[in-house]
Amino acid sequence: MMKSKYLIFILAAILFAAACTKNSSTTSAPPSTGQGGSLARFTIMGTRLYTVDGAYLHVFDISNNSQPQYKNKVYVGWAIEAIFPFKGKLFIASNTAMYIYNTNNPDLPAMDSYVQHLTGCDPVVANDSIAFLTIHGGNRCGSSINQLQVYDIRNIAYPTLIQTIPMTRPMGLGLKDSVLFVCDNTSGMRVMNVKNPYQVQEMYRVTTETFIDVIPMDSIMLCMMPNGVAFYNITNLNQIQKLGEVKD
Amino acid sequence: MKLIDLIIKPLYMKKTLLHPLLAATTLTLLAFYWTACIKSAPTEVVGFKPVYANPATIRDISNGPARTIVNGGKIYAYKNWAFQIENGEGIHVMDMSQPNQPLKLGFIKIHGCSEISIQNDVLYSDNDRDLVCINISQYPSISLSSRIEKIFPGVSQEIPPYEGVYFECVDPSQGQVIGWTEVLLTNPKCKR
Repeated sequence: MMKSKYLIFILAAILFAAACTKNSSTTSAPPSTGQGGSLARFTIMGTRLYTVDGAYLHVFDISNNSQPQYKNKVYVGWAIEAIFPFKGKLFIASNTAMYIYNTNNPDLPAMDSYVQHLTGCDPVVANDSIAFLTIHGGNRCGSSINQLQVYDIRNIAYPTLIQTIPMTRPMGLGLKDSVLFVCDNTSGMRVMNVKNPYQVQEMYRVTTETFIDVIPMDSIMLCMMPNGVAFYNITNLNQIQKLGEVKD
Repeated sequence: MKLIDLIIKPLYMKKTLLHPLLAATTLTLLAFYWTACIKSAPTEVVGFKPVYANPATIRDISNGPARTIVNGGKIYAYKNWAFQIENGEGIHVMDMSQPNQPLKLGFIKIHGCSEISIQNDVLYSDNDRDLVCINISQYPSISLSSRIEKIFPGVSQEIPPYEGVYFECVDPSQGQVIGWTEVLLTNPKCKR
């Protein structure tokens, strides 16, 4: 009787110790993850790689980076265009809608809500309270609509369209603090103040190149062009400055 | 009198010869047969032709010298590296440690690629229909650490991506279809 009690105690101690070492080993090496643009169909959140194609969201467990495990294929909807991650949420843009998924179970994201919008190709970016979506037309996109849409997502179950701003032919977009960068084809990059999302205001435009997408980082921004990339200093959002480019 | 009556009526005017419903069905079937009949195709028509590649070539992933950016695709930032996809062909690797003097470092050849994501020096991309994981910790030396096959839709092996078009029928013995190109076809045998 006494023996088995000791055994249980020892077993519990071993389990506890094992749990501890496991914990400390995972926290000691934070993953180093890159950053993509708003047009991306691949994104990494935590230890999962999420990809979208056509109609599906695919989930891969990359806890062991070199040996991913294919976990799930989730049907989302028709003509999926892009995926954007933010704090446990996945914003998925399609030709006709924006879907918001939670990753409470990282292997099986579940839909919180979706909003249908006018037909067009459209990437999305978001923060805690607002989602920004551009819609552009063209043959493949099935419409001639070109605009920026602003959604209030404080109630994640009911995203509400709060503002629509006409554009030339917007593509990618990027958010840095309260400034939104919108790549608007021949009209250049529109730098917009979104502090008050009900009253988004254009601050200025950068027309030196044809921007397609942007990745704003801490102090620099990587910009996509049809034939290369450009780097901008964004420490002063009131006047971003070009640093260099790789262009052919 | 409607046009349809003009066509169908003579068929059932002669008593009990043809029930109107039967006549309509026959006509519809004839119409379908006529549109589907390839023999009615023009001898020369603009259509689509499959582009083939050797499956081994498609799976070959390697790093080579920097290339010209022709059809620049999506971008990605990781540590001091910047990346741009060359649509369908691979990934340009750039050094952005000095953003005022960025440099091209090389080009990773990945057939059919359009996407990229990186964590802990492992680059994930799409190689045609497969997800590939490439270790870049020793760049410019790279190694394929794993491949998960047939995840993505890829290019159809049977039909071109447009409806109502003539095309050259696929011959699987010529390899894997990696794309469709618009050409002038002579006596096409296939139509979508």
